[in-house]
Amino acid sequence: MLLSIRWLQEFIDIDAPVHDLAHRLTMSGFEVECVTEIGPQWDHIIVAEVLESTRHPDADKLTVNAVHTGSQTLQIVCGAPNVRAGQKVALALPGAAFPGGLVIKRSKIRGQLSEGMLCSAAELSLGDPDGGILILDDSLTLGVPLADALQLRDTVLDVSITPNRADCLSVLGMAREIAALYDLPLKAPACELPAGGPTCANLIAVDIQVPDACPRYCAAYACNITVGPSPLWMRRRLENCGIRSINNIVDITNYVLLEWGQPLHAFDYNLIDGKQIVVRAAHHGERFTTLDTKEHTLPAGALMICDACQSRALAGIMGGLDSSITAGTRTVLLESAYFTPGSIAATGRSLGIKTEASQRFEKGVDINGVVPALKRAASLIVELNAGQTSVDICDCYPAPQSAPRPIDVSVDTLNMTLGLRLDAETISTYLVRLQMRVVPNGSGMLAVIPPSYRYDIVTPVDVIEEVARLNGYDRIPVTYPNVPLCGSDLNPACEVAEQARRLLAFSGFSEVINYSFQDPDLLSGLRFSTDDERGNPVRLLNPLSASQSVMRTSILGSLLQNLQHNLRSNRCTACSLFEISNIFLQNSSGAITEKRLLAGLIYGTLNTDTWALPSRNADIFDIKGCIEALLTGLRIQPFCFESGSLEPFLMPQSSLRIYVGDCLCGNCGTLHPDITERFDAAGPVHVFELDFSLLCAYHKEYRPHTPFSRFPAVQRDLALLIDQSISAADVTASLAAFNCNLLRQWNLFDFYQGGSIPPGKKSIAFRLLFQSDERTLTDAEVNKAHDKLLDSLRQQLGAELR
Amino acid sequence: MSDECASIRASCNQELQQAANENDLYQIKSKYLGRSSRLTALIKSLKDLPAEERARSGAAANALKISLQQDIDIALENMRQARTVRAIAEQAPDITLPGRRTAIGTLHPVTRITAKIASIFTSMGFSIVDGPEIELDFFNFEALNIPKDHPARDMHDTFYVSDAQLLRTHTSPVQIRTMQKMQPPLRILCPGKVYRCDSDISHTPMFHQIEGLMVDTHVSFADLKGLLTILIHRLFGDISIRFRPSYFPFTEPSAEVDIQCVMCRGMGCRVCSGTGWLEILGCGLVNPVVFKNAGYDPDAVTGLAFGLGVERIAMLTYGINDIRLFYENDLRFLSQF
Ligand SMILES: [Zn+2]
Repeated sequence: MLLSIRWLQEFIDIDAPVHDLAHRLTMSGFEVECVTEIGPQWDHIIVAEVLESTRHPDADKLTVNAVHTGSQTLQIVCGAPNVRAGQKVALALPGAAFPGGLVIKRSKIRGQLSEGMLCSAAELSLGDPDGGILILDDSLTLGVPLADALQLRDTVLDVSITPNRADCLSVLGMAREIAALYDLPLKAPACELPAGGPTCANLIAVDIQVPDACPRYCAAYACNITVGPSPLWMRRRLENCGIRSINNIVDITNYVLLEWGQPLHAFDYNLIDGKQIVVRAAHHGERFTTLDTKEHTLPAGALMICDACQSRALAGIMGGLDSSITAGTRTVLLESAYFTPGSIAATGRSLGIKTEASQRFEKGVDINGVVPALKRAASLIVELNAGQTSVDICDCYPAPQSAPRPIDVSVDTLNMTLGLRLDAETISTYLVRLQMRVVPNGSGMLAVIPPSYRYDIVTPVDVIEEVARLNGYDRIPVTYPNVPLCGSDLNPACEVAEQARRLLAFSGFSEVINYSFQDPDLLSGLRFSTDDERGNPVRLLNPLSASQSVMRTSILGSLLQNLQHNLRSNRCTACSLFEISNIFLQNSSGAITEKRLLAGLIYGTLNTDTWALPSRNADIFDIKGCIEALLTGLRIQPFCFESGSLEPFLMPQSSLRIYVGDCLCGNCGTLHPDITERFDAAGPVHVFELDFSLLCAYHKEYRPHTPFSRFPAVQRDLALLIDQSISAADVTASLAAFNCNLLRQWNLFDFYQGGSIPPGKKSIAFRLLFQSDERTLTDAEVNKAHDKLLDSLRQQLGAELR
Repeated sequence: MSDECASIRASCNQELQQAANENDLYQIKSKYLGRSSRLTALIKSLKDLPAEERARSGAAANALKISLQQDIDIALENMRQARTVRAIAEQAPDITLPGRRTAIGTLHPVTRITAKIASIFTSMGFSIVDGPEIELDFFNFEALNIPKDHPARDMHDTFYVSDAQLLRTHTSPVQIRTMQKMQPPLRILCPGKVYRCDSDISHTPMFHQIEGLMVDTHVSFADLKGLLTILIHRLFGDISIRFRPSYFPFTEPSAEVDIQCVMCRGMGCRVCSGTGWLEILGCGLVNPVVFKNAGYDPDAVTGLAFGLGVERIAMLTYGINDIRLFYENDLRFLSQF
């Protein structure tokens, strides 16, 4: 909210420097976001008098003027038609700067020296263009800066008001708060109705048909109205607070809105049929044109202000086009009402309209402020010579609010909650400064009654917060929670995530984090079938854009986008990325589950940046090796791979299913080239996706130690020639099944095909380790086992020794 | 006799000096100490001398022999050492070449900061808990004292999935979920992704928050100040902190916490909009209404809660000025962490 200090000073005598005020406000819950000085824009512009005005010798439309500044006479060339000797004018001296970049300097205009500029109201941002220079009041003193002469100077604070403090969305509200902060008295502004006018009784009848939505409706009448511009001071105040000046009547309603926080509405009384105001709910499907010329179809329950015949305003939100104030308006009906927040909020949201008025009603205005605000507006009509008002108002308030119930606050609880030691008297002083009534009951309890505008004060803790605020948070001590000592581990999922991240980073993967929402095209690009949950993502009802409209069902699309970004903007030749994030699945009945995945991607040529290792293209064994290392590093047992993944985005011949225990934990492999192509990748992209919860389930921080044999192990290499069709996994399966407890380990250390190997065959070599727990093995024993093993491999796989 | 000894000595010395390699030295050795050497001849000739002189000359010749042997051995040893040194020098690698390693990756800055904050709180007995990102309106708003049409909903630009389901706008719903499951006292920390429909230089539609909640019998606002002072000092060192009143429907009293601007040390700069202070987290004492909504007896327990933006802390820690960098995932950015 924009708060004018000069306006504020009409309510309290505050002479604290602005920076002090801004600090105190910030430290009491009203963050001052910006302090703006009004006035410097009129620097180098002074009050001056035209002594003599003659036609420019070389230009018909220009005049050459002798202008007196009070201390000297300057020659000014001017193009305005209304310059006359004897006028007081606003003179811009060299150095004066105008919005738009014009800076005044001495110059020659058509051969005549001009030592400044006579300004129009528009040039000074003080009015609309009217073709002439601004003529000032004759009483102003020559040479005085215009900003001082017209009292334009002000300071405006931009204060952030939290949603619970709607009562502070006005000059009065802020004045009350600042009065409490500085312990200053509040000055009551004049809002008495002038005598001599008509009475409302025969002029306005109000009928509230929906008292739940409109508990109170007040109106005043004004006649002999002359619609015209408001005085400069009022226009300036409105503009400094961000409201455009319209005409005197509308300006008065806006002025009171800013001053009292009570939205008012002015109707052209002549257009109100039957001298009657009816407050009712909109008819089904009712249409209404607001004064911004937009036509709306009203939602059920929208609150309408009507006359005897038709709807005249969308209550609390915006007036109607037909009954608004025009230049020809002669009589006015001023409305000041209380509409309940829920009703206004629902209608505003449904129509998508937010106005100064609706925002205040939504947050709640002071039901007791309705009348004084109306009287204030009426008195301003008279003060501005805009017309004459009724001597009374019409106040329709069928069920006046009952007096608020006192809130019982315990002094002990207050002190315990805050960590302070305040006595009842100090607490009362703070609360009284906030206009609360406090009755001590003598036994450490205070009965507190907040003022009607403090809707936010309902429970004891609301009162406690007020005491904390006025006392100052900085005066609450720093203590440490006095709780029993207890340790806490990271939870297992965090532990696994942490370890997995470090293992992957050390294997060359960089961690990325992507938005959880993405482009649906990115998902369809992964070729999920229609009966796959992942092909039917959760959709956002209100996405920021189509490219962020569905929740991810796979992380791979995001990783591919990251790859594409880095290939394009970063020209990288290799890229290894991983991400641990939730995906969102929705079953056919609409139930949503979240699943945490660990996904990764490898692309490009490895080891290009080192002299010490041969560079090579990444292949599926890089991804497989990295998963083996990851699962081993996480101490996950058992795990295994099965050839051929069913994932639609992987190539079946170049993909694997990954099992931990008996559960399918994920897939890895090479992406289909036509998917890869769309992301600018020149070669194959290898990916994996693992179910993170399974990693956690099978992760064991500690596994029991197994004793190992101290008898020497005998190593034998076994090089086999086998058919192409037999896989390495077939051979290891045979080794695992070999029924001899002396064979303890086998590592596949060499693989070869082509060259000297006969067509249709491949060579595969294992390093075998024979060992006994009881004795040192003899050569004969090892040979016997080795031969037996070879025999069984021959029989089972047709393997030959190479 | 002594002339001959001197001559042998001189001749050998000269040859030793001229020797170029070990081979030369072996030849010198056989020439001066071998069977056909002058010294051998000299020793053989001693037997013809009178006994007294034979003894004296014999001693001199022996001394010469030992001395020649020593000199040649020393020369040989020197030569051998020089050869080893040469060989080592010839085979020495350029050890200034970079080491043999494959590239390593990096962790995302959001992860790093989250882990740091988690470790600070786990060391104080807080447990890490987790909650869903697609949340029910009830947990995200209503249970947190933000009913429908509450003006505070304006503070949250919410993505909706259905009427009742939304992307959580803060990690606070985990407070309710945890209290529904666990009995007091409790100390929990919940890091996670949150979502708001907002996107510009200082807002991304997804970001990370860390929620903290402590429930016990006598938790005061002064304790809240103490706990968060520990956090901030562990994160940023010994800098000034201020608590100022604010409003969150689920805490009361509520506060926002500012730290002295880390960029300008409080002098005022662009980052802190000239105030010298940077807002880094929101906090407060748990509103009794929230306890009631979560099934706790509001008269029996007290609590404190806080929430902070991870990206905000990361930006201050690393001097990052555009929040969007976190989600662009450019390796030139990521590789710095
Ligand atoms: Zn700064």
